[in-house]
Amino acid sequence: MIYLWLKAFHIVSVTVWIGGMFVAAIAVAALSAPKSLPGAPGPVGIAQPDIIGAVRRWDRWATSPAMLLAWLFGLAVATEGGWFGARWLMMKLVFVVALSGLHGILSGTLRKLARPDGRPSPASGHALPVIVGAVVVIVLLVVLKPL
Amino acid sequence: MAPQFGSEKAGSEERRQMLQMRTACLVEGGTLILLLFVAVPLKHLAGFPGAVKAMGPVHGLAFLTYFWMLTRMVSSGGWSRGETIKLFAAAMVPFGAFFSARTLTRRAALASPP
Repeated sequence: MIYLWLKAFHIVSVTVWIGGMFVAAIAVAALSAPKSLPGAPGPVGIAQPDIIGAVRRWDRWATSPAMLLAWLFGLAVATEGGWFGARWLMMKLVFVVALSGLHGILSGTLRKLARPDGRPSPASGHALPVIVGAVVVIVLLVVLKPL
Repeated sequence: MAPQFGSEKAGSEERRQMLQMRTACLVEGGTLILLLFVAVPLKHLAGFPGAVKAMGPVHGLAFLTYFWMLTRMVSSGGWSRGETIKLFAAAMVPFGAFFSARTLTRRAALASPP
């Protein structure tokens, strides 16, 4: 029974984490566009600093704690279920570390964009396909357990 | 006056980030030392594998947290590639965290006065 509770909380944490990463990635991609100038109004007249501030607040108070909880519950699920050592889990961990690194890059880029002279790196606009790809691989590994 | 206030706020945020990073770095280094010099000898010399089983995931989480904070800090700018590699490599070496902590303390002092 505890296993199912841990798994449920793990899935909830992962959903909030990945959802938040999408928000951050879309914001970074939009603000990295060449026509996006600092101080220029955003959609429906919202100023760019307001958008960056809102995304950063969500990242700090929801996405980052959700990521930490996803790790903790994931670790608990793997321990409780005796999954450690399974090859699919080891492969999944590689993608989890990559996603965590990408989240760090997006958070840092948002912080950089919040500065008056902040400019994103050219690669930070391509985070969305990477997130989708990693999520697809992780879900396939977890559900099918092919290895 | 507003830009100066903004720059002070950014400096204070940067300082806080460096100090949080230093804490994560020392926790990561501390768990690595406990794993290598306490848990592993307990497993091989005293036949107590539970120590590694307990410390392994704790160090894993500490390393992942440090790695995430490092990518966030480096992506926000102001760090050279050499410094980044040093901070990452030091996390793999026992006692390397103390060198990183010194670097982070120095950068925190440069960021803004407390």
